[in-house]
Amino acid sequence: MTETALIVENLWKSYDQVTALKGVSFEIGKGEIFGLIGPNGAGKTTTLRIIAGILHPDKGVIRIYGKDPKRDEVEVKRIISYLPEDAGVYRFLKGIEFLHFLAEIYAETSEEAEKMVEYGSRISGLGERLWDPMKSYSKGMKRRLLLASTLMTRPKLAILDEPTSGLDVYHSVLMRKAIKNYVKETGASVLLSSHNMLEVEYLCDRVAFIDKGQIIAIGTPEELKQQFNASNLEEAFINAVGGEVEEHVA
Amino acid sequence: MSRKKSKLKILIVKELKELIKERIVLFGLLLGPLIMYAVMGGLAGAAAGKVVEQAAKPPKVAILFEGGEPGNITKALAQALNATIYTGISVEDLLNKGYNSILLLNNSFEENITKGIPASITLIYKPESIGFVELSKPQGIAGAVSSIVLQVVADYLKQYMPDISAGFLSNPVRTNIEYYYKGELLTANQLQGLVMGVSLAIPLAVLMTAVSATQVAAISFGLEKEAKTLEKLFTLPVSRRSLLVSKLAAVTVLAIGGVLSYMAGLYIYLKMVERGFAVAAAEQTGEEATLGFTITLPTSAIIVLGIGLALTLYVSIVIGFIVGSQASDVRGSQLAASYISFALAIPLFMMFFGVDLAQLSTGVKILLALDPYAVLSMIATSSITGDHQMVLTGFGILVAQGIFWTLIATRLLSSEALITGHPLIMRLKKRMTRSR
Repeated sequence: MTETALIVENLWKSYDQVTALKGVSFEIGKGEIFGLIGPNGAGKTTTLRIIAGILHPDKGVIRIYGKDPKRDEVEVKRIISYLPEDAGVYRFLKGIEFLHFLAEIYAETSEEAEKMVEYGSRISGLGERLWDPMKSYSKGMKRRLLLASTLMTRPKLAILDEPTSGLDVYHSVLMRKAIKNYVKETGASVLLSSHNMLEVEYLCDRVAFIDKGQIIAIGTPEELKQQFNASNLEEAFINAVGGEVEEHVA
Repeated sequence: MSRKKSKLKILIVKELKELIKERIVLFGLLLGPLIMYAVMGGLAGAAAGKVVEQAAKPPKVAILFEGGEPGNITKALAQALNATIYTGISVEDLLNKGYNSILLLNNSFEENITKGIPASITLIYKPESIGFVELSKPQGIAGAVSSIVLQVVADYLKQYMPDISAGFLSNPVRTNIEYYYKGELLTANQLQGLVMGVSLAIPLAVLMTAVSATQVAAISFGLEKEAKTLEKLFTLPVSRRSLLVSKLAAVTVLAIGGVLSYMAGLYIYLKMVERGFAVAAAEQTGEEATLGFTITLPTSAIIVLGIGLALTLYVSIVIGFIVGSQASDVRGSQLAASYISFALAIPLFMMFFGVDLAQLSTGVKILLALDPYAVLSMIATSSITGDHQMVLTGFGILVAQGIFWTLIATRLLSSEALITGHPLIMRLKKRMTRSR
């Protein structure tokens, strides 16, 4: 890693009696796509929400391009962008109005905002449908627009929680390509979580396995497969958690 | 390079666009009052016409004379009431003949009147419907009987005591009542206007504004939660305070729009009722008539009420936000806001029934000081009665409430419970379950 985009150090977080994170630590380099893999309830979304500044950790350190998200909240939020897993859209706004709304919040000038909207419109691939109210969009269209709105502000760190969740194969491929191209074009970093191992293998430079609030392994997809003597990431994860599938499902 | 719009303005515009297109807000707050009042006005106007028509319809009177031949007074009465005198027939038979008013008279009636002794008669009335106008018709007949008898007495007096008027006998002393209130002498009519302002106009104005504002504020959060847009909103490079302010501003704009809609609706309603009366009266009498009442308040009271309303509006909106933030969707927000609004409006209902809040015990007054609607009502009442100290105290209480609730709202908005779905009520429930 040449330059660190994100440092997460010993992150702890509890909700009432449940401890969601138990000392999570990892780093992401500049221009890197980093994947967080784990079963439901492993702590992926909590980790992403804390990094995005929506939740506060009970303990631990976060640095985004050297800045403390708690102290420099607005400054940090300007260089990051977050796509929540089950994010919705404003029903009565048109797609284009939504892009304008976000662009105007992020941009310093009207020209910059226009450029963002142009870029967002292109990534979304929605064409003329951008002028329709978002309540008329299908799930795939909404997700594409949300991803476009997340990337159009040109964040230095894009945080994507299950970016292709609920999408069909065709739309999932489109979304993955958009993410890959974005990193290639801008040199930005991406932190994503996913259940889809194929997606993670295709997109991510490095991957962290998270289970029961703890990081149990970090490495490139190849390193992890070798480390856990597996032919694919799915198998590697199962071997990493050291148990049978039934134990985790129970 | 062109100048950029303020972030707050962008957020407010987004809020307004979303809220204004929401059916609940559009119809419930902006168009609803106009439509509702117009429909109510149309119905009330038509009902007013029916009332006037009913009032103008003369009763069909018969006199049933028992025990001999009717005398001159009975005949004069029959002529004046355009009634027929019957003898030797039952009341039922007369009702079956189509009469709806039957005066039962006998010889003792004539004897008493000629001797100057008060007489007692019975009037049997068959109402067409159970309504105020219909049920008050016998009173009109009774009044007509009295005035005819008085005329007979007046004729006697003119003959034997020409210097004494009949009016003197019927009402020897006329008492003009004036009320000494807050250093001023007021007539009954003036005081009635005051009572009208205090017990009707003020609670109505408070209910109209504050309740709608609380509802819209609550919905504003419910909409974000239901659409799952709150999380994205919280990651924008703006402070949470700016988000709160933008929501406050947007809801205030809509609340003012709602107030104007209510005011316009109320105006239309009153005009339609007035028109209903006027048209019906014109049909009956051939002359134009008006409703003949207005709700008026002194200018100073209107200004004080305006300031008080603005402060109450703010407090109501913030309370609406707090309530809305604890619900999981629009329906939950609406329900919670309805309960809160109803609880807060209880003092206003008391005012509708004529309870003077200022006369309540100190303990109850302290309790009422926590209710912004009650405080505004007390401010408005005090401004009418000229209690300036109470007005200022009321303003102080509302400002303190505004600061208090804003701090609570800011804290709740910064709280991650909004995202994690553990609002205050749910957390309290959990704690209670755990402690058991």
